[in-house]
Amino acid sequence: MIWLIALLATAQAEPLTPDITTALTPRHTGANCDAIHALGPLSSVVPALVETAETVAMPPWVGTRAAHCVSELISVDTLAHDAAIRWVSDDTRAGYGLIILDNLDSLPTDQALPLARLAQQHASSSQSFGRYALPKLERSLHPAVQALSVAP
Amino acid sequence: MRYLWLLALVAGCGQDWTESESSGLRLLDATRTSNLNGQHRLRFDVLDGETAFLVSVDPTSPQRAVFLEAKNPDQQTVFDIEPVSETGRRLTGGQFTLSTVSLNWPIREQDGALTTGQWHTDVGAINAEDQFDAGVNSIIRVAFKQDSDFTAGDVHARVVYVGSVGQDDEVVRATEAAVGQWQGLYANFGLDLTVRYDTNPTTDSVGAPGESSGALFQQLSSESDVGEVTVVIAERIADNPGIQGFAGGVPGPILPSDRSVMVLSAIDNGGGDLQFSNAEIRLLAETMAHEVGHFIGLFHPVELTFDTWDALDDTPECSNQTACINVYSRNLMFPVPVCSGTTCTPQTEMTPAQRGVMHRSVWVN
Repeated sequence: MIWLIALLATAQAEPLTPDITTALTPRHTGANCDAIHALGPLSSVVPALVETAETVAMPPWVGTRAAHCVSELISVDTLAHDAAIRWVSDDTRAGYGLIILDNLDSLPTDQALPLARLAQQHASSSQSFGRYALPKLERSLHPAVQALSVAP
Repeated sequence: MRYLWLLALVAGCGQDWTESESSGLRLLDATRTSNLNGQHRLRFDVLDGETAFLVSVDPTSPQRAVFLEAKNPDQQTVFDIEPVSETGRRLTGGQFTLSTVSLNWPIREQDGALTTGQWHTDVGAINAEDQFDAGVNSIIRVAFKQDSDFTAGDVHARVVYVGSVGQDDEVVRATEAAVGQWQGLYANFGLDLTVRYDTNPTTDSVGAPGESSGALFQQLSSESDVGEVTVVIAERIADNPGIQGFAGGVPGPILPSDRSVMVLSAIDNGGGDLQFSNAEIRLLAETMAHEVGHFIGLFHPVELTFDTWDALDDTPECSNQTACINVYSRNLMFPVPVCSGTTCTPQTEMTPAQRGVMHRSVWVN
C-alpha cells in the first residue's frame, strides 16, 4: 500500500474522491482510515469521504469503508456529524447508519445519545434496520443509550 | 481394542497417531509436544493410491507454528522454508508463522506425484518472542485424499448465518443467489460445489479468523464435516471494519480451530442500503469464490505492493498497478476488483496452474 499512499499524498490539490475510492477498493485492506485521514486537511477529506460513501456504487465496500472513516471523525468535524445524523435516520443509508452505531461508544454521551435516539426512531419504522440497530444500542457502554433499547 | 491401538501405531510408523476415516479422507490425529529444539518432527505414511495430504498444526495459544521442511520417502527435501521465503514468492500459508498452520502436498504440478512411504515434516513451535519453544503442545491432523483426477473434483461448503443475519431475508436471498453463481463459476474450473446452510444465533459479534472469536470459530468448524469448508456470514467483521471477506488460512486448517472458517461481512458486501443489487450479488459470488480459493490453497497472483507474487509458473510477474490490471483484471484471485460506476469487470478466470493448485488440495476431493 505504500505506493498508493505516496501517490495519493501528491494529489492533495485535486479532488480526493477518486483517490479515496482507489485506496478503499482492494479486497483485503479494510478501511485503513489513518492513511485516508492523512491525505489532507479534514476540510477536504471529510467532504470527499461523504461523497465517496454516498455516490460510489461499486464495489459496495468502498462506501462502507468511507462511512467507517467518517464515523471516526464525528466528534471533531461538523460535516461528519451531519452525515452521521443523516445516515442513522435514512433507510436508504441503513448500512452506514449501523456503522455509525458501531462507533457510538467512542463518542461522549452528549453526542452519542442524539444519534442513538434517531436510530431508535428509525428502527421503529424499519425492521431491517432495527434488527441490527437495537442490539447495538443494548450493548452500548453509555447507560443512557442502553436505556433506549428497552424504552417502550 | 489393543489390536486397534497396535494398528494405529503401525499406521503412524512409530508415532502415536489415531487413525480414522471421514468424508472419504484418511485421517491421522495426534497431540504432540515440541522437542528441545522447539520443533514437532512428524512422520507419517502415505499409502498406495493416496494423491495428496494436508497437515494442520494447532499449537496451544498464544504459541504459533510454521512449517520448516518436508521430506519425501527418498529423504529428498521437497519443501524448505528458507529458499521459499527468499524468493519473495508465496507457495503456502505454511511458510508463515500463524496460530494454526497447514501444508498441503503436492501443491503444483511441478511438485510431482505423491510417493508412497514415510514422509517427514518439521514444524517450528514459536513463542510470543518469535523464538522456537520447547514443550509446546499442539493438536495435529494429517488428512489424505485418493483422487487421481486433478481436473475434476468436489468442494463441500457449509454456510452458517451467525447472529441477526440469519433472520434477515435479504441477506439470505442474496447469499443463496450468490452461492448459485459461485457454483457456476467453480463448475468452469472442474469443481462441483455442494453447499448446505445452517444458523447460529448466539452472537452478533464476529471477528477475523485467527484474531478473535476463536471459540466461536472452533465450535462452528467442529460442527462441519471433515473436508467441508465453513463459511460464516456475519453482520460485519468487527475487528477489521470494511473487510468484506476473510479466509482463515492458505490453505485452511483441516481440523477445528480458530482459523478453520471463512468469514463474510453482510454489510460490506451489501453496501449502504442493506439491499443487494444484482451487481452486488455477482460480486458476492466472486468474493465467495475468491476467499474459498484462498482456503483451498491459492494466493493472489500479485500483492498490492507489486513486489510479492505467488509461486506459480503461469501467473506472470507484474510490478505496477497498470501492468497488473492489464494482466489480471479478470483473474478470480486478483486482489482488486476493477470497477467503474455501477459495474465491475467479471473476475471469473484462473490460469491452468491456479486450477491445478485447487485440484491438488485435500479440500477438493
